Amino acid sequence: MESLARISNMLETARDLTLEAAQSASAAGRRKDLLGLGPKALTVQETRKLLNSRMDREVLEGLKRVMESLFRGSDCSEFFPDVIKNVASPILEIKKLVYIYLLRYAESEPDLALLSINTIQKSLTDQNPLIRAMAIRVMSGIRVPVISQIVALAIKKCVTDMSPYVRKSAALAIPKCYRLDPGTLGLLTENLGTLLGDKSCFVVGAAVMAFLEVCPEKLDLVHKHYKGLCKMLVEMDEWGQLAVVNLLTIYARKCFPQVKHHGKEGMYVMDPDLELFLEKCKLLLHSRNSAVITSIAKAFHHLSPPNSTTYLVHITGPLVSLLRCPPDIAHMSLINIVSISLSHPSLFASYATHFLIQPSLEPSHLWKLKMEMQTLMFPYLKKPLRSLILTELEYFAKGWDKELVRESVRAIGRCAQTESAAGRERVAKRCLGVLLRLVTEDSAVGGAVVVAESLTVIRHIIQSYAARKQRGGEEYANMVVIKLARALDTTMHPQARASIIWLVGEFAGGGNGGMGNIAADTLRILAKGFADESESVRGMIVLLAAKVYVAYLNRRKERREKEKAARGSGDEGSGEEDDDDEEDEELSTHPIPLLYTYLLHLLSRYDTSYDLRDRARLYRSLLSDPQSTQLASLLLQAPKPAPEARSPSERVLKDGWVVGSASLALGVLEGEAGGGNGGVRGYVGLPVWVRKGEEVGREAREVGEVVIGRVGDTGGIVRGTGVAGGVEAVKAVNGNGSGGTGGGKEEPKSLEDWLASEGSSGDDESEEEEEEDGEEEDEEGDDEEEDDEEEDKDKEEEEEEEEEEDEEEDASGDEKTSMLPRSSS
Amino acid sequence: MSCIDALYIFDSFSTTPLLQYEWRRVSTPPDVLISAYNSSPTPRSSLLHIPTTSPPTLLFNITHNNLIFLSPVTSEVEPLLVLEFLHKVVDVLEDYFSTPLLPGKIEGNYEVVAQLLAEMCDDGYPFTTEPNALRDLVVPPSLMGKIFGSVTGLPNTHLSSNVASSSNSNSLSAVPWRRSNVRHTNNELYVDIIEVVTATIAPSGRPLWARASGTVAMTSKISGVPDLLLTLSGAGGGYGRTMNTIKFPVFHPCVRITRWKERPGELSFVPPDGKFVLASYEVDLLPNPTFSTSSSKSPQLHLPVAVEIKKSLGEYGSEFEVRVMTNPLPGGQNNNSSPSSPFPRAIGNRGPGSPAFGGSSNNPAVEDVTITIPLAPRIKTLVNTKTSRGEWHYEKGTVSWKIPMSGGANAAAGMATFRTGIALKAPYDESSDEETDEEDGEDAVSDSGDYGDGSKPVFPKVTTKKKEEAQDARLQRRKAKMEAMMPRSILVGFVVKGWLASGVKVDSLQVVHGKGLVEGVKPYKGVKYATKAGGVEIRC
Repeated sequence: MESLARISNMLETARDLTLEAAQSASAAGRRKDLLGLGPKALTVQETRKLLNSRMDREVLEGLKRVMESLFRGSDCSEFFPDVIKNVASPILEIKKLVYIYLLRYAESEPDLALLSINTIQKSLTDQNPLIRAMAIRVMSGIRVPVISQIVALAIKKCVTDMSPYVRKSAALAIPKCYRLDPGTLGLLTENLGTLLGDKSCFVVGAAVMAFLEVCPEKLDLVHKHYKGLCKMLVEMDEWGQLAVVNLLTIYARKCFPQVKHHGKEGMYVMDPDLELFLEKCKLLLHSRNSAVITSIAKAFHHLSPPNSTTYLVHITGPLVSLLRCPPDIAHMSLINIVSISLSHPSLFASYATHFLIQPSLEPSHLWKLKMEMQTLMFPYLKKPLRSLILTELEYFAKGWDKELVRESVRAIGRCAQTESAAGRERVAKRCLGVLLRLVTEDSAVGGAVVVAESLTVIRHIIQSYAARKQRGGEEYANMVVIKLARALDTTMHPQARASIIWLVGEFAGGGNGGMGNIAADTLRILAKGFADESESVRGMIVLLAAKVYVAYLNRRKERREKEKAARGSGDEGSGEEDDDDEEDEELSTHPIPLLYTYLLHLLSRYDTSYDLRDRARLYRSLLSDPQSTQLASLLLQAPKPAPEARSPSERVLKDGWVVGSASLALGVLEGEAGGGNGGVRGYVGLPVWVRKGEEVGREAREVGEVVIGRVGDTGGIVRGTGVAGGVEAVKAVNGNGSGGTGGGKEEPKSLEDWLASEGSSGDDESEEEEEEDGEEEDEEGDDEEEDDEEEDKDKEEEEEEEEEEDEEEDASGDEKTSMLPRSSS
Repeated sequence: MSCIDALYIFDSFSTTPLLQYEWRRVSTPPDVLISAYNSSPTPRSSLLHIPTTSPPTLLFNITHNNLIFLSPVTSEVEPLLVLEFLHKVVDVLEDYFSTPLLPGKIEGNYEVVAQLLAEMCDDGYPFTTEPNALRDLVVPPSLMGKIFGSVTGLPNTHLSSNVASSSNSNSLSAVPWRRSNVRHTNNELYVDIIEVVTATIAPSGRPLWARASGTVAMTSKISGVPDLLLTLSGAGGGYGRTMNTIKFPVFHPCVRITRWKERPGELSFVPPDGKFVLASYEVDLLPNPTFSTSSSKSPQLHLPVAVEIKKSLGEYGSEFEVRVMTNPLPGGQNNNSSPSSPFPRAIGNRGPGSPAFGGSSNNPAVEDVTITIPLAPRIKTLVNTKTSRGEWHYEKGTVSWKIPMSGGANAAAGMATFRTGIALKAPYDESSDEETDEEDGEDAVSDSGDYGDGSKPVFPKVTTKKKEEAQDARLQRRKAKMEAMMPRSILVGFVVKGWLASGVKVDSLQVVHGKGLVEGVKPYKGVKYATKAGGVEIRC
C-alpha cells in the first residue's frame, strides 16, 4: 500500500510544498531569533538551572535542550544528576523525557541510575496504566545487571495487570530482562506462558515476539495456545501477525510431519491443525503491510506439500500487488517472488505483464529481477506473451545502456533454453534469429557489448543444439554457422570475428559432408586478410587452420582404410609404397594442406606475437607426425559439454534461504557474497520437518483452548473476517448498532468502563511489593539461545558450469575459447 | 528474532545526523554508516551490506524529501519489517508535523520526536505504530505549545495533568486505530482517490500493458465513533463489475473484509481520525489483452495525452520531432458533479495542506504535462531546438519539456511540438566519457555502415523512413549513426484532476451508525479524483 506520506506528496502541488518549506524555514529562524535560544546559545550552567527549576515549564525547556543535543549525537552525561532529579515529576511529558534520557545513560552511571529505581518502582503502582507501562519499560531497559531480580518481579506483577497496554509492555520487557541476567529464564518463561494465553491479541503478539527471542525452542509452551494463536491472528496488529506467523511456521515444521502426496492427483491429507493455521493466514492476504504478506508467502512456501501450489496460488496476487509499493519495498518483494518462482516457475505466469520493465524509470536492481522473472516464467507462457517478451528483450538489446543490453541478450539466451515440449524448436529459432540480427546488424550503440554477448549466447544455443542430435538440431546448427560465416564479411569487431571463427571451426570443421568445405572456404578467405587482422583473430584463424587440417587428415585416413580394406581382400601387404606416393602427391596439391602450410609455415611463423608463433609451432609439430593425428584430433575436436545459462539467482535456491529473510535478499543482491555462507549473523533456517511418528499428539493442542470473540475485551468493535469468533462478533456489533439507536441497551463494556470500575482494586492489589520467593528458581537454562542448525553448503558444487566447461576447453588445447566474451561476473 | 537497532536521520546535504535514536546498543557510529551509504553506488538498494564493520551491518535506508533514514541491523531480520517500520516513522512524523516533513520540523520538536520514537519501537520491536493510537500517547506539538507556552508557570501542572488524564484513561481506546474522545465542531468527510497510471506503448501506438494503481485516501473528522460505509463502483457501475475491475485490493485494518467479500465494492469501517489511507487497488486498463500482433482491433487505452514522434528528420537525419496533443477525456466521469451525484462538489473550505483540486470546473483538466526524453550518452548538445509552447531544458542526458495547459482540455489548444537536432561528442571523447568501459575498440563497430539492410524492424515504425539511394556512403553512414542516436523512448507525465483512468467512482458514503455523533448532524462530504502518470513510456 502506498504510504500516506507519498500520497500527500502526490496530492499537494509542488508549489504548495515549496511555499510551506520556505514558511517553516523562516518560522524556525524567527523562533530562534525571538527566544534567543539556539541550540548553542545555552551554556551548561543555564541548562542546569533550567533543569533544577521549580517551574515545570522551565524543567521541560531544559529537558528539551538536553534532548536536542542528545539526539544530535553529543554527549550529555554531565546532566545526569540534574535530569534524574526530575524522575518523580508528576507531569507525564517530563517523566517520559527523563526516562528516555535514563535509558540512554544508565549504563554509564549505574550507581546514580540505581537511585532512581525506587521512584520508578513506585510508578509501577500508579493508577495510570500509561505510567505503569512506562515504568516497566524503563526498568527493564536500564542495563544495570544488579536489578535483574527486581525487574523479573516487576514483570511478574505486570503480567497480571488489568491494562493490556501494561501487559504488552511487560511482554517486551521479558527479552530485556533475559539479556540482563539469563538466570531469570525460568521465571520469565513462566510469565511468557501466561502472556501467550492472554485474552488480548495485542498482548499475545508482543508475547510471541518475546518468545521468539528468549526461548524459541520451548515449543511445549505453545501447544495449548496453538489454536488460540491461529484464531487471534486476524485481530492482531500487523507486527503481532508477523511474529505469530513466524512462530507458527517454525512450530508447524517441528510438530507436524511433512505432508506427503497420496496418489497422482496431488491429493494429500493435511493435519487439520496445520490446515487451520494456513486457512487463517489466507485471511491476512489483504493486509497493507508487505512484511505480513511476505511472511504468509513464507509459511505457504515452506509448509505446503512438495510441488503443491494449492496454497501458493493464493499468495501470488498479493505478492504481485506489492510491486506497486515504493521501490524499496517492491525490490524486496521481487527478491521473494523470484526465489519462490525458482521452485515454482509457472506460478506467476498469469501476471506476466507485471514483470515487463521500464528501465528508464526503474533502478537497475528492479528491472534486472523483473527480467529474470520474465525468463523464468517464459516456458509457461502462452505464445503471444512469449513473443511479446522476446520483442521487448530485442528492443532493449538495441539500447544504449550497456548493462541493459547485456542483461537482455542473456535473457534471450535463457529463453532459448525453454524446455517445454511444444514449440521448443520454434522458440530457440526465434531467439537465434533475434540474436543473429543483433550480431549482423551491428547498428546498436551498445555495439561491442551486443555482439560479444550475443555470440556467447549463440554459442551456447548452438552447442546445446548440436548436443541434442535429433530432429535436425545439428543441421540447424550448421545452418546458423553458415549464416555467421557469411556475417564475417561485415562484422568488424575483433572479438566478434574471433568468436565467429571459433564457432565455424567447432561446428563446421568436423568435416562431415559439405560442411568441411565451409570451414575450409572460410579459412581461404580469411587467409587473404590475415595480416590485417588483430591478434586475437589471427590466433583463431590459426586454430581454424589446425582444425580443418586435422579433419582433412582424418578423412584421408578413413578413405585410406576403406581403400585398404577393399584392396586387402584381394591382395595384402603390397602397394603401401604406392599409397604413400599418392599421399605425398595429394598433400602437395590438395588445397587444404596447401592452405595449412601457407598459414602455419609462412604466415604465423613470422608473426609479431610470440604467443601466436608458439602456438603455431605446437600445432605444426603435433600435426607433422601422422602417428599423432589421433592425439591431435582428440585435442582439437574434443566434445564440449553443452553449457547451460543459469538464472542469475538460481544459486540462492540451492542455498535454501528462507523466503523473506535478509540472508535471501543479500544472496540475490550480492551473488556469491551473500553475507557469508552461513547467511547473516543470527540466521537460523527453518527446522527440518519432524519425522512421522515423532510429532506431538494432537491432544496437546486441545487443552486450554482460548475463547475469543468476547466482544467486551476489545471494546465492541471487531473486524468481521469470517472467523467463527469473528462472525459472532460482527453479529454482536450489528446488534449493537440497532440497539444503539434504540437507546443503547447492552452496551459492551469498553475499556474506559473497565478502568473506571477496576482502577481502585488494581491499586489495592499492587501493594505487595517485595516478594522474595521467586529468586531461587532459576539456573536452569543459560545457553539455550542458539541451536544453530548449520547447514553445510557444498561449496564445491557452486562453481558455475561455465567455468568447468572452460577448464575442459583449455585442457583440450582450445586456449582461445576463453577469449570468447564471458560475463565479467 | 528480528529487531531494529537504531534510527538515524540525515539531511541529504550533511554528514552529521539530524537525529540519532538507539533502541539497542549500537557498535557502529552513524558517521561510518553515512559514509558507507554515500559511497554505495546509485541507484541504491534499500538494503546495503557493510561487511567491514564488526559485526557486519545490514543498513536499511529510505529517503523522503531530502531526508535520509538509516537503520542499521546486525542480525538476521526480515527486510520488509524494517522498511515498513521506516515508512511508518515517516508517516507518523508527517502526521504530527504536517506535510512536507522538513529538517526544521524535526529540529524544532526533538522532544516530541523522542517520545514518538520511544513509543513506536521498544527494544527494537515495533510497538505502537498506529498514528491515532500515538495521538493518545504523545501530545502533538501544537497542543504542547498551548500548555507550556503560557507565561504563567503555575497553572501548567493543572492543565497538563488534565491532558495526561484525558489521554491516559483512553490510552487503549476501544478501537486500536482510532483515538478516543474525538470531538469536532465541523464534521467532515473527504475521500480522495488517486490513480497512478503506468503503461508502455509500442511504436505502433499499441499499448503493451497499462495499469492504474489507485489509492483511496480519506480525511475523516467526525465526532464519536462513526461507522461508515463507502461504496465504490467500476466504470459500468454495479457490484459485480467492481470486483472485476478492482484487483488486489489492500485495506487499512479498519475495513471489514467479510463485507467486501460478500459485496465487493462496499467498504464498511470505523475510520481513524484524520488523514489515512483506506485502501489501495489496481486496475488493468487493458482488460482483455490480445497480444497477437495480427489482431486487428488493438485494445483501447484512453490517455489524456497523445504523443507522436518523428525521427531521423533533416538533411543528416539528425533531428527529431515530438508532437503532443491532449485528448478529450472519455465521458462518464464528468457527471460526477451532476445533481444526481450524492455529493455536492467540495469547494474550498479545506484547511491548509489539504489537496487543492480544481473543484469548480465540471470538466476534468489536464495539467502539468511534462515530456521527458532520455537521450543517448554520446549526444553532446542539442542544436536548433524549437518548441511551439512551453519550456525545456537538457540536463544529464535527458530533455524535459514542460507544456503549460492553459485553456483546459481544449484539443486545439492542447497541441504542442518540439523539434531538435542532436550533435554527437567527438569520437575520441567517447571512451573517456563513458562510465564503464570494459570493451575496447568499440568505435570500430559504431562506425561500420550498412545498418539494417534486409532486417525487419521489430516494431512497425511510426514514421516511414525512406532510405534514399544515397550516393555518398558517408552520408549514409552518418545517417545510420544518427539513427542509432535517436531517442528510444519518451516518458509522458500529466496530472488530471476530477478524472480517474479506471473509471472507478464513489457511489455513496454513509454514516451507518455514529456513536457519539449528535443526532441530526450531517457531516459535510466531499469526493475528489485525480489521475497521475507514474510511468507512461512511449517507445519509438
